[in-house]
Amino acid sequence: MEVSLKIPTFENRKVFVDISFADIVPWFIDNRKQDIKRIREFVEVSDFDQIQRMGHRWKGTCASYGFEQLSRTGELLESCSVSQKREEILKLLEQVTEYINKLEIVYTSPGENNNSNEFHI
Amino acid sequence: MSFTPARIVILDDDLDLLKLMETILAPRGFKIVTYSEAKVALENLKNEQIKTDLIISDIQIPDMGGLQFLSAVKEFLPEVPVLMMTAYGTINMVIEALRLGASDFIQKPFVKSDLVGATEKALKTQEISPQNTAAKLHHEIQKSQIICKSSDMQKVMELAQRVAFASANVLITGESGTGKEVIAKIIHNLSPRGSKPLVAINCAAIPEGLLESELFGHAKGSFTGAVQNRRGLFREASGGTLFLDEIGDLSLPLQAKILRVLQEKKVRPVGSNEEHFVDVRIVSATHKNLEQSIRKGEFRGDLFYRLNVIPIHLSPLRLRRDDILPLAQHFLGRMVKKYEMPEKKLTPAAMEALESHEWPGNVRELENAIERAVILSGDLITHDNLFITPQAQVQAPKSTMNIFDQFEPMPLKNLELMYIHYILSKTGGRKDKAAAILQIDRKTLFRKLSEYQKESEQPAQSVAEVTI
Repeated sequence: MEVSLKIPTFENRKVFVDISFADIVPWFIDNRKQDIKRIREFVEVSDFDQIQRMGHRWKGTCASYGFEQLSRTGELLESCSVSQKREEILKLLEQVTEYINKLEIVYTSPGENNNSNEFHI
Repeated sequence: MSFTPARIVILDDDLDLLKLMETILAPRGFKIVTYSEAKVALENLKNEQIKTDLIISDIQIPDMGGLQFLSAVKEFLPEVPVLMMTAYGTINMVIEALRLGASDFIQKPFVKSDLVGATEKALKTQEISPQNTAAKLHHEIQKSQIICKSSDMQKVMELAQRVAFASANVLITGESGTGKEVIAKIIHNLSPRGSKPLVAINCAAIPEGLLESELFGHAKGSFTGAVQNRRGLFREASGGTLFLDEIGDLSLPLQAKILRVLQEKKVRPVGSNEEHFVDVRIVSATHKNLEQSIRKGEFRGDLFYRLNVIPIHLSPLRLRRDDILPLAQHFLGRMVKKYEMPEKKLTPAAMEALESHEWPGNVRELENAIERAVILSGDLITHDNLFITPQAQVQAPKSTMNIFDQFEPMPLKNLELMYIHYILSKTGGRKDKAAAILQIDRKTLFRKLSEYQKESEQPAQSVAEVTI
């Protein structure tokens, strides 16, 4: 059964993150940057299985940190790798790189209303 | 007195997730041990002498597979609850995990409160013995008066028992009249939420305009007639279960709104800027094939995945014929008691007719047939009292015999009652559909049924005394 995927929107760069994650978020962001580099390498050698695995991880993990657009990106990477859409993957990597570089992270306390406009997957 | 913190072993090949889970759980006083490889985790769990209170494992582990890991753990640590983590789209694996003994699972990506809640709940399940669970299920079966002699229904009950303790959403499918709401009640009552409210709503029965405020509530003055604030059913069910019946009839805009609530666990009443946190388990039901509805663009795939975490299918009565006679006997006993009548029995021919009928309206139709027969029969319920015709005869050429030849003359109102019951049996007990066929409004139908019931309760002129 096919399920239509929602394209991530990278316009809203403000992300609200639980303050108790503040110590590990920089490490998490660095890892995503590393992932992007690795995915580019996987595209070079057409290793779509690895991209699919990495997309699946992003999908399952990033929103738990508060980065829902990255989870959505992971979902899309997973789907594009199944159909081996090289160009789409590269375009998505370009967009997500820019998004990560310009992220504005706002740490919030539990229960604080953040009025986030982000999509939820 | 020394305090030993609960020891939780977490297995996931994603180091980012391990770190996050440790960050969330460790400050709550748990001792966290993480593994990224199943084989190493298994080896250490086998050899170490320290008591483990809970294991949380991803369902997809590259070096072994989460299900294989679960199965192996259960061999030497059967009493330790195992919580499985899964991304959506792995429903079959979830069911298999529950079958293998997983106590619950967490859907990825999760929010902090989901993880903490599931962890605390799983630690509590250690206190519940299987004997207690089985006894509770037995009690629920008795209370709900459900009959499950067929292997199909026994499997359903087994699944209901297993999933009750999980917090996951359940989608119950099956034809009209198969007992979807009964199963929803059993799941709720067996669950840790059993003491909290079970709020049910039939999504097809309420006009779309009203359904939104019914579900999410509204602020005073938000529309004409909104004279006071209304909390809405999501908030009414908070802490408990919301049963969304006929979910397949929900409009696309409302589907989007429900999806948002499931994702964010917050509701915003119509006309209000304020959001309210809700902790609700969703059990939904439909007679429709939602996968087909998705293909037609009538149902959202993403909502389907959220709702259909644990699918339970109820077979139509014609496919579980072992249940027909026990159900009929059960309804017979209940109706005789309801109408305060002496004991009645089914003749062999009546039993044969019941067993061979196709029951398009399923259990509801059977219940109506027995109620009608109890009202209209003498001590023995005959084939004729049932007003059901074997399918082959239904399709046979129409007889030239006048249909009234088979009855003794009777008052018109008795004939009317018989016909109303006949139509109700055709609609599976759905009074709205019956009213449409009879071309009377529902209120008139209810009034007639109520009048006849009152008359049947008067001993001198009981309708039940009329033998036809």
